[in-house]
Amino acid sequence: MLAQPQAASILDWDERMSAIDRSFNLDQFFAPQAVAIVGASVDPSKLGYAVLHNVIEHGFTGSVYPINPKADEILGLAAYPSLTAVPGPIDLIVVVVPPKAVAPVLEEAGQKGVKGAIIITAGFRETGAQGMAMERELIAIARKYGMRLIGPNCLGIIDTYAPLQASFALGMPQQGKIAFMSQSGALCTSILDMALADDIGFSRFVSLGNKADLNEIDFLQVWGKDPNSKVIAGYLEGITDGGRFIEIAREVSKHTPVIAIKSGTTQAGSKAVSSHTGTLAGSERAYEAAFLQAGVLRAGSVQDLFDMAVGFSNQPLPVNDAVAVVTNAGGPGIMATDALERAGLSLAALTAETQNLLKAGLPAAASAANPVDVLGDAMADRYALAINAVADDPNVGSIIVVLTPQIMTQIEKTAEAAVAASQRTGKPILGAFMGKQAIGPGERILRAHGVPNYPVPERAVNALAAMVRQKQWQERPMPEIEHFDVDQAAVAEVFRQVRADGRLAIGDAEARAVQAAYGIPFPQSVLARTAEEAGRAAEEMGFPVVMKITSPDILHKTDIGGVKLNLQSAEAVRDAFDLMVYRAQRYQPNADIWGCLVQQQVKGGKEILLGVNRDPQFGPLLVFGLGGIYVEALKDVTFRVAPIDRRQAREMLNEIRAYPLLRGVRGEAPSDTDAIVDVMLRLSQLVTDFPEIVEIDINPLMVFEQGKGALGIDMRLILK
Amino acid sequence: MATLYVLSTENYSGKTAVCVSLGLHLRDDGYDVGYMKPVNMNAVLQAGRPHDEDVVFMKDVLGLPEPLETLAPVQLTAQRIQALLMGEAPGGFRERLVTAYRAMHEGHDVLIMEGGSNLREGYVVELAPPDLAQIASEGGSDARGLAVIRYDDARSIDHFLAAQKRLGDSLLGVVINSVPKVHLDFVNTVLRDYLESHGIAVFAALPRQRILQATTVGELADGLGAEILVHPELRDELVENLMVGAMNVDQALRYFRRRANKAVITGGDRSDIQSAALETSTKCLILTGNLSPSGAILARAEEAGVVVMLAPQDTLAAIEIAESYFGRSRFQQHAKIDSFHQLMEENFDYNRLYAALGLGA
Repeated sequence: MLAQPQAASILDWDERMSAIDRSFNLDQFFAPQAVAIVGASVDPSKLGYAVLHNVIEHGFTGSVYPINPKADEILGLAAYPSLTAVPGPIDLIVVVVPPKAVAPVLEEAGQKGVKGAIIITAGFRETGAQGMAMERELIAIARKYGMRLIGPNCLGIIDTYAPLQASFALGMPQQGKIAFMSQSGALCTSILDMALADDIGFSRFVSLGNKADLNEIDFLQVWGKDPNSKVIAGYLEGITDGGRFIEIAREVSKHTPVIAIKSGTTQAGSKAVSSHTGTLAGSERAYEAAFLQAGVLRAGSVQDLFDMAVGFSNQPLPVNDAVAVVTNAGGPGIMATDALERAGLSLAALTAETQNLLKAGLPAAASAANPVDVLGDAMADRYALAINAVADDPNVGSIIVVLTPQIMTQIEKTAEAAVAASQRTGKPILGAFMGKQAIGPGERILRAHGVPNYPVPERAVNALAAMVRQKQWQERPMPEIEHFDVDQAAVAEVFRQVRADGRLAIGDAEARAVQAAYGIPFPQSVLARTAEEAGRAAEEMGFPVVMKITSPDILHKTDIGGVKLNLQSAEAVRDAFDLMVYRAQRYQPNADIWGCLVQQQVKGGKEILLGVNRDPQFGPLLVFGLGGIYVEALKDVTFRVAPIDRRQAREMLNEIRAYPLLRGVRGEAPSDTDAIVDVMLRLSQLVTDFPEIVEIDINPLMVFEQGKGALGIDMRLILK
Repeated sequence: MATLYVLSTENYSGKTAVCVSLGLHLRDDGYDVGYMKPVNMNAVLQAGRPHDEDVVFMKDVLGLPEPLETLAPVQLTAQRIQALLMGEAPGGFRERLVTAYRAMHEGHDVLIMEGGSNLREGYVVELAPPDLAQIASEGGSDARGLAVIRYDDARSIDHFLAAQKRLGDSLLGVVINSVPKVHLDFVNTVLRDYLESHGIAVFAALPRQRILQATTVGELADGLGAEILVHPELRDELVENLMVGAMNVDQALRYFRRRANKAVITGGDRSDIQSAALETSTKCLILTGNLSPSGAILARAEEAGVVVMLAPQDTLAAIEIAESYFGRSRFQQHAKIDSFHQLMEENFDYNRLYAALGLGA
């Protein structure tokens, strides 16, 4: 097998900045010497029987203690009435007693010095307030004794290397390199069953349950250091601490691929997640941004997840994104080519040497260009020649071997040829032996030797695309966050005053102080309390001016005619003041109206939308897009979780479809993108410095020609 | 001894609040303070007997030994007045009141007398404000009127002038209450000067405070006839805003973030909206349609310290009922009292009051 360990490319990442606790391990779960099953049962229909049976049956070599006060012996082992009655030490307990009995069991375990508990019992926070209180009690007991918990309300865990099968799932998976965690226990059992049929091996398998104590972040940390786990995969409904998840995942994923299915991303799905977990699902775009920044690969389905995981666990990463396809059928070759382009990969341009080698070795009708068509009558020797030739081509990063079963096709021998090439070359080779019955024996040969096989080329391409993304991610430097010289105290004072007033929303007038403190430029503006004041202010700053009604109670100024542009005289300003105040009072009689903001009218420039929306899971989500009235309809916006660095800000600029407009079209001067990036970074720092900010809108940020800067015309904030 | 007659021109203007604060201040200055509400035209029947929460509350705050019948001698309902007009109910209100007044007046250094919800009440039983002033003066001391008037905008001026007309010389002065911040400058300069120059003494101008408009979780639950599922002990929590959750979940979060200390009304089956509300500053979830939420939501609410109540109405009906509680809520909550008392302490001219009542500071 070709499994080369992948060098950790975090050399440019200062270890002292690492978020990972290097001494943290969960050996009490994955390397216990003695395990007790509390609630072990003699009744084969009970979970307490199933768990004990699994522990004994699947090769655990340490001591096993069934705990049951009513039994003397279960499954041939002496049973003990309590944990205290067990003579020796215990590392791990698996708890399958009724919910009310769990806390006393933990207390007893704590006193005995047990350091790990898997609580399979359900009936805790998922059931309501009382269950929540019971769950908190479990956490308190665990903290008191320094004990760690998995669950409650989970299926259990499996470690194929320990080996330990401490769950109520059926059977034991093969040893493999995939570590898997799931927030759905039931999904685990199906995945295990599928994996058994498809020869997919696991290193570790954890059902997270309610995540009262240990959660996905803990397992990421520990599995990232596990030599038996080459890829970490998970099914997640919610993430416990999004900010920390990103910190940990982006380090772990630098050497171990992390793949996740995140469910509950549609409207209906999100409602189901809320009902199931009591928390907000988190927005789809926040997950997209967070996973991107954390180097987490997103799988769309269980099948997708395992297609990728199997690729990672068996094959090395490709050196580049160019793929060679070797096929005995034209159609599937074209399908593979289409899939490559759609996935953002490229068809490798073979060197002249390779093409000559192929021309010499293949029939005249064969194609020596990529995709390499060895023709329908190809036997294993033609495949061997073609696979080896492309594998040796320096332009090729990876190879997909497509096979359709014709009457003369040597399925098994071709599989052996692919395996031999895979063992010889350092490049990933994936099979796309298409069919089911006839190709079965060939597929088994491939799998047995670490060449993953996919029933259609598209799935092989998806797996390869993930591997290419992983390679690019590993080569990418860690973000370097810049810090600007700002006035935090000034902002804190604005927030204090707003809160003292019992408000959460900060309008344009008050936001000016925040902009000033964080160096976010804005046009000259004055809050006028009377029409006369407004007229004087406008005369001082010069015409034309803009006026905006200012009231903490009016959130949508334009809806009530509370914004007037292009006012040319003091008289027009005074009239506008009276009219806007009148309208505001009509619209909302109880509104507290402070007056009107008189603001210099800005000429020229392009409108940009910049903002922050704090996601319940991941925290401050920065949004960037082209502004103006079409922003809602076009949805041409892009997101990142703050803090971001200059490179990420630049990438956001590049990502929107309208980016060419900022570069300048048809002879237009380019916009000052450096100024946009500067504001983005300052905004990123602002929301990082003040976690109480839940929303910011700068709409528009007016950006001018290169070198002429940008102005935040209207800014609003919402506090938590 | 001195009698201070606290009146107003309309309901919910902050009379009771001013009485509490004055009572506390006078007591702290060493006076034995009494309180009574001579006539209540809006009595609520409890177990067949008239009951006035304000009076029960004041008795408790000031630790008054007199029975409630003395503190609130005349309590009327619409039915009672109807019976009276039909000759089916006994009168004798004046006598009852005079007896009560004498007891209160003689028993305390200063008596705070709380008037009705406007200046036109009580004529039917011949106990309108001028009658009360007369009873007081017959009892040995002039009842000096302090009018509490809510200020909305410049048109409120007529309320001050009307109070002066009705009460004449017995009007000691006014408290300008609940002034929107934007009008505070104007009120403290122009309006104050205007009133003073028209012979109306201004004892305080108090800025409007959101918290005083708040209702409580308990009031909402009672009004809706809702069952509280989580945190029944938090009935006294103040609710400052009401929001309705009927949008999609992405919008919900942005919407809910805009208001603090709110009640959110939504369907019992909208778990996404409920969890969005729980992410923001929310005091209670009002779940309509008698649909119970999921256990996980209840657990999350318990954790977040948010009350969850189950209302029998549909969302529309629940909104209508809940809305009616804002700005018309009673005053008897500690947070409100503390907040208002602090405002009074900062703004009320006690020296002027003491001088006018002939009390030493």
